[in-house]
This record gives sequence, structure tokens and C-alpha cells, in this order.
Amino acid sequence: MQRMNRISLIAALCLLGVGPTFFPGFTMYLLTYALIMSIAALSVNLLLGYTGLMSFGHGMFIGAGAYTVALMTRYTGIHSFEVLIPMSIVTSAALAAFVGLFCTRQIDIYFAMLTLAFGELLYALFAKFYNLTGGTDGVRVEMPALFGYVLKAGVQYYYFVLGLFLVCAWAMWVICNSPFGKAIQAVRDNEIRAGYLGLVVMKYRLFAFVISGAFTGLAGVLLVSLTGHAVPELFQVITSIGIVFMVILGGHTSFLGPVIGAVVFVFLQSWLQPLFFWQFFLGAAIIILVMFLPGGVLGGIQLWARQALNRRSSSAAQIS
Amino acid sequence: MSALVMNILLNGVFYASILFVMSAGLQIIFGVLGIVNFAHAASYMLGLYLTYGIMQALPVGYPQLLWIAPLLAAGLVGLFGLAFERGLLKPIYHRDHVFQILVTFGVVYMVDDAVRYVWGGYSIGVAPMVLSMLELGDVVYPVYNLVIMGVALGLAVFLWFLFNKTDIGRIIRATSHDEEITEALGVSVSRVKAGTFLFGSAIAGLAGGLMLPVSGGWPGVGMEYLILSFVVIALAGLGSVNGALVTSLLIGLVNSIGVQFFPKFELATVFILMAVILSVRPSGLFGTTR
Amino acid sequence: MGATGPEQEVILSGSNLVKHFGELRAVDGVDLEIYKGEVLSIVGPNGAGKTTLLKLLSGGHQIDRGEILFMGKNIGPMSLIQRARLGIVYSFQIPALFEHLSALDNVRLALLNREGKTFIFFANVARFPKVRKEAQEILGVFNVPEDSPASALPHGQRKLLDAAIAFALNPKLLLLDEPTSGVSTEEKGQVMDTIMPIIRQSDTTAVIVEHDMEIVTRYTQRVIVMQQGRVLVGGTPEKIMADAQVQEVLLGHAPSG
Repeated sequence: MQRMNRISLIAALCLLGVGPTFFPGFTMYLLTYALIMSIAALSVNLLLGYTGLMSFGHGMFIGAGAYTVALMTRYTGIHSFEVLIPMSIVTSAALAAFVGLFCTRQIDIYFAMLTLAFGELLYALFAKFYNLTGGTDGVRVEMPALFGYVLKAGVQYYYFVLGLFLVCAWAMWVICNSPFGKAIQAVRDNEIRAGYLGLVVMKYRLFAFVISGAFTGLAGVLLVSLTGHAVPELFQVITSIGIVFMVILGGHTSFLGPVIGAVVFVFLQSWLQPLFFWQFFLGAAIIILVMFLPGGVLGGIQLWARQALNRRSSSAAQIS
Repeated sequence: MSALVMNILLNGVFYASILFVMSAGLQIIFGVLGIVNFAHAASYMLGLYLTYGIMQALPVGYPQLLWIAPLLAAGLVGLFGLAFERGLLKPIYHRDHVFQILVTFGVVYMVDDAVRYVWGGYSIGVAPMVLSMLELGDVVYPVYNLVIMGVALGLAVFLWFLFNKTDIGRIIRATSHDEEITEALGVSVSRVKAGTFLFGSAIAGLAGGLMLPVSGGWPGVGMEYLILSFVVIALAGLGSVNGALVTSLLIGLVNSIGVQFFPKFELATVFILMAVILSVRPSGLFGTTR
Repeated sequence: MGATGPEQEVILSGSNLVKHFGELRAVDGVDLEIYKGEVLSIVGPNGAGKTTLLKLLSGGHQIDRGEILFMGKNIGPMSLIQRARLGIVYSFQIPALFEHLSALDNVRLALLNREGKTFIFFANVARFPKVRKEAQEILGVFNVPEDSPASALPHGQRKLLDAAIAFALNPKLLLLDEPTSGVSTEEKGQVMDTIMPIIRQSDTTAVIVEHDMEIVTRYTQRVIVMQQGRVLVGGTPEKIMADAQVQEVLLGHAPSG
């Protein structure tokens, strides 16, 4: 089982590595988009799968990252990744710290609602203040430079994003398997016991929220550089739910599930969107997933693989 | 009283009325089922669009008949809510509440597109059933809006009576406190949940139907009120209908003042208020930890 | 089993401890002294207030009245977390485990927390081999398989894991709430035979709430009998078992003698 995992992983990485040689331009665009959303999905899962908190407002961090780029460029002229990326991470982390202070004090339902509310609040602000933020028109963004060199959209940008994705994935893997990672899982599994051990539960949730927000902000930078347009809709719940959906689709009980979910979602969306009633299928898919495939795609595959290899699976979901 | 103050008050109470009708349903559903029902937005939207459809189908020339539309629509929405609760929620009651919420969200998206399919993506609108205005001091105010306020008030009274004076109300309260004991006492908790969801959805549908002449309709129309309802119930404390009455008024007035004096901030004032209050009282003003 | 000597140091003293839940007087004026290194058991019929008393000591409940001094400090106003940091550790009657984590991780987390390392987020857990080794040792002594997720363990081992987590925190005062409840009669001996030597060897002070008088007699040095929120009598297990009043109170709970 472990070996199969490792082989699939290596195969996937190889595919990602040589993809541009074989895939047409639009597929590369989608793949880039998928990798960016994978970063966001992984960070949402840090919160959902590992800490047990479902955020309906993570779109606000994508928006924060996107608008950091847009507004920095507009007002200071700075337009290079080496500045914008750290800046966005800082902005998103600060936003997460602020919002988190309110949200992490709450129990799960309140948490979900509050994150949603804050996302909508930011949408309301950014949509109204036309002079400052471009209002509902948004702000056009051109590809930032990387150490003076402007990456060409397409293959070059793809490799850049791939590189950052790998870095982020590795970083999050370390975090999830660190003492902190174990601590947040403990908080998720048994908040009371964690308290009895001496852990201040809110502190861990807040910190997880900040880390999660920071990574999602990075995704926002990459996203806006790809699409070229920062819009207030990014702050809205539809963006946030989309990311949560990717996580659940891929499987929130494993580390890489969200990545698979992001890839499947992006390609599925591009395939279905022209079919007009995209939202209908999204809604139906969410319902079907929650009801019948709690482990998501990856969970389903693992289950099938285990059965195929004729082994009894344990009833507990394992965080790998 | 100056016209400005009257306007602010009236608009505030009007806004509060709709918020209360929406929030009351949410609170009751939360009390009994333990979930925050995002599908309320779908109920509101369905109520609005069904009212439109019914009005279109009614014979012309009998303006009184138009009043039936929102009521009929509310009933239909209630049935839709019942079907949803029995079909999609009941099988997953044992799951973590956030997943149940996700399912209610799925319904919103489905209904949104369904509405788009049937009635198109354009805005719709009708004239209010009562077009007259009433003179209140220096202000002239639509009677229709006053009717809506009346409905909200009626609902508040009805709910007070229901919960404090009737057996059904007692059963509902018992179920929200402790399912197991209530079940042991011979009450079918399952039926209580179904009935609660039906009622909650119906009044959300009623809210939508009544608002059709006021604001018109477009796909996604329920979301703004839903989000504001969330603020109302979060501030009130989840499950507290009395609290929702108070916070609806609070939010309604704050919004009304905001629109008047800080038009750019409008919605933001509400959220800022929420953030401030929740940081001091995390369980809401009238909340108890569940 | 050592006898309680006259020179024994008092590690915790509680005076006039009171806890009400509305009308219910769960703990109704309890005076208590716990000596360093002893194993004390609290017995009594259901509803006597045993678990409540334990929680008053651990901080799970706050006292309504009275005073608790732990190693000279007034811990009454202290929160659960603060008391945990002082070394008062509570082990749950219904095992409170981190269900999705492996047994190893359950203990490892307790150890990391003890070492104050839980906020380290940028180093893989594998970088702390000493912690891993200690966790493995503890699990070995408690006889719990390390790789199994907590939720997959049989009940007896879940109880042991719960105790192991508590133990990993190097408690100065270990509060065990019914360590053998829910465990089959054959297994009870196993569980206690595992836990007690560890406690003795490490010279940990322990308070055990128990129903089974056999367990009490075999494994503990001193007994307090509670009834309706008050302490009826205290003494060695032999003295308690010979007391007629105690027998009446505990009637139906254990064989006499």
C-alpha cells in the first residue's frame, strides 16, 4: 500500500514535470490554475482536516493576496514577485490574525458563520470603495516580474507555479507532521483532553488559522497573476465554498486529498461550465459527496485499492 | 419628530421585520436540529419566485386574490423544506454538523440554478398589492411595508404564544434541550425535526413572497438576507428567538442609520457591530453555550 | 504496601470543599489530606460525589467554597490548565483519547507538551528521537501497541492509554477516575497490575476512584469512603472493610471481608 502510494506520487510528479511538452496550451492553463488552488486547498485542509475547523471565508485571503498585488502596483509601482509574495503573505497573515481573534474563540458553527461574515464584509468594502479599489470592476493586473525578468504566461509561469507549489506542499507537510501539527490534531480529536494536557486550545486554532491564511494569500498572488484581474468576488463565499468543496472532493482525511480535489474540480468546472447550469451540478455534487463519499475521491480510491488488495481497512480514518 | 428620524425608524423597523422572519426560522431550526440552515436562502428565493409564478397564473381582475400568492408559496416552500429535510438531512444527522451545513449549501446552489432555468436570469418584479401610502407625521410611508411589519409582529406574538402556552411549543423546547430525554418521554423527535424544518422553511418562503413587490427578485436574491440573518442570530445567540427579535431591531436600525449617514459603509457597519459585540460576548447577547 | 508513617509529607490538603449543581450538593464539606507517595482510593455508592471531588482537585470543576492547597500553593482559583502545569493530572473514566492519532502520537503529544515543544511547527516530529523513545517506553510498560489508532484499540487498552497519557506528563498528583470501569473482570487485574507498579516505581502520588473493593484492598494503601457528598470515614483498607457502617453503605457493591 505504501509502495503504491509512493509510486503514484512519483508518477504524478513526473507527469507534472514534463506536462508542458505533451499538453496543449489550455490544459497547461488549467493545470496552473489547479496547482494554485491546490495551495489554497492544502491550507484549508490544514484547518479542516487537521484542526477540525471549517472556514467559509477563505476567499478573503485569496482576495487579500490578489489585491495586495493589484493595489501595490497601482499605488507604489512595485511589481515584482520577490516583493509581492512576501508582502501578500504578511498581509494575509495579519488579516488572519485579526479575523482569527474573533473566529477562533467560537465553536464550530459560529466559526464557520463568522468566517463567512468577514469574507462578505471585505467584499462589501472592496465593492463599494470604487476610488480606492476599483469597486466591482476590479483591477487589472499584469504579470509581475521575477528578479527583473517578466515570466511569459504559459509554460514559464507554469513551472514557476509548480515550483512554488512543491515548496508550499513540502512546507505544509512538515508543519502537519511537526509537534504543532500533532497538537492541532489533538485539539481536533479531543478538545477537552487537550485542555487537560495544558494546551490553550484557542492559541493553536488561531495559529493554524494564521498559517492557513498566509498560504492562501500566496495562492491569491499567483491566481491574480494568472488571470490578470483582481475582483471583489474573490472575497465572497462562493470562492470559499469552492475551496472547501475541493478539499472534501479530494478527501479531507489525507494530506494530498485536497490536491487531487483541486485538480479534479478545476478540470470538471472547465468542462461543465459551458453547460450553463454549472451551479446546479456543483450543489448536487457537494450533496452526493457528503452523503456517499465522505472520504472524497482519494478516500474512495484508497478504499477500492484496499479492497482490491484484499485487506481489511481500519474503521478509523488515518491522517497520513 | 423630524422626517429624517421617522424615515430612519420606519426603514429600520421594516428591515428588522424581514430579518426577524428569516432569523426566527433559523433559530428554531438550529434549536431543534442543531444546524445553521443555509438552505434558508433557497427557501426565501423559492418563496419569492413561486409567489411571482402564482401571481402570473391568477386570473386578472381580482386584486384581492394576489394576497393568496405569498401564502400559497410559503406552503409550497414548507413542503419543499420537508422533502429536503427528510430526504437529504435525515440520513446524515449523525455526521458532524458542518457537513450537514455543507449539504444545505449545496441546495442553495441547486435551487439558484433551478430558478434561473425556470424564470431566466433577469430580474423580476411586481407592484405591491396595496399601493396606498400612509401619512405618519411628516413622512409618507407605503402601507405595504407596514403590512410586512405587521406580519413580523404577528409572527413574534404567534411564536411567543406557541412556545409559552402550547403543548407543541413545550415539545419543541424540550427537543432542543435534550433529544434523548424527549424521545424517552414518547415524543417522536424525528417528527418534531421534520415539522420544525417545514415551519422554518415556510416562513422564510413567506418572507420572500412578501418582499417580491418591494425589492423584486433575481437569482441569488436570498443570500444577502441570509448573511444578515446570520449576523442577527450570531448576535442573539444561536437558538434564541427572543434574542433574534432584539438583534433584528438592532441590526435593522443600525443598517438604516448606516444607509442614511455612511452610505459607502452600509453593510460594513453591521459587520463591524457584530465583530465588536461578539468579541465581548462570544455566545451572543442572549446565548447559552449549547 | 507501605504503611502511612507519621512523618509523611502532605502534598495536598483540601478543607471544607463544597460544590453544588443547583439544588444538588455533589460535594458537601469535604476535608482531605493527601500524603506524598501514597496511593489513596475514594470509594462510595453512585452519586456519592467521588468524581466531582476528583474534578474539584483537577480543576475540571471550580469549588464553590473551601480551600485547596497543593504543595503550599492555593490552587482553588487556578484553572485546569494551570493545575495541569503544576503537575496535577487527571485520567478519565471514559477514556478521552485523540481518536485519529496513533497510540504513539497520543503519548508523544503529552510528552511534547510536557517539554513545552508543542508550538514548534517547522520541524518534523521525527527530529525528536528522544521523545519518540520515551513514548515507546511508556507504551511498552503500559502494554499498548504503538501504531494502532486510538479508536481501534479494545476498551482495556484504551483505559491503559488514557492512563499512559496522564502518566507521560510526569504528574506529581495523578487522579485516576475508575481505571477499571467497563473492563471485564479478567482484564481488571491486568490493567491494575500494569498501572500500579509504574506508579509505585516512580513514587507518584495517586488518587483512585474505584467501585471494586478487591482492587482497593489489593492495590491501595488508604481508603476514603464517601456518601452523599461527605466523607464518612477513612483508613486502611482492612480497617474500612471491618467497619460495619461502611459495609452497609457499600452493600451490594462488593463481597464483604
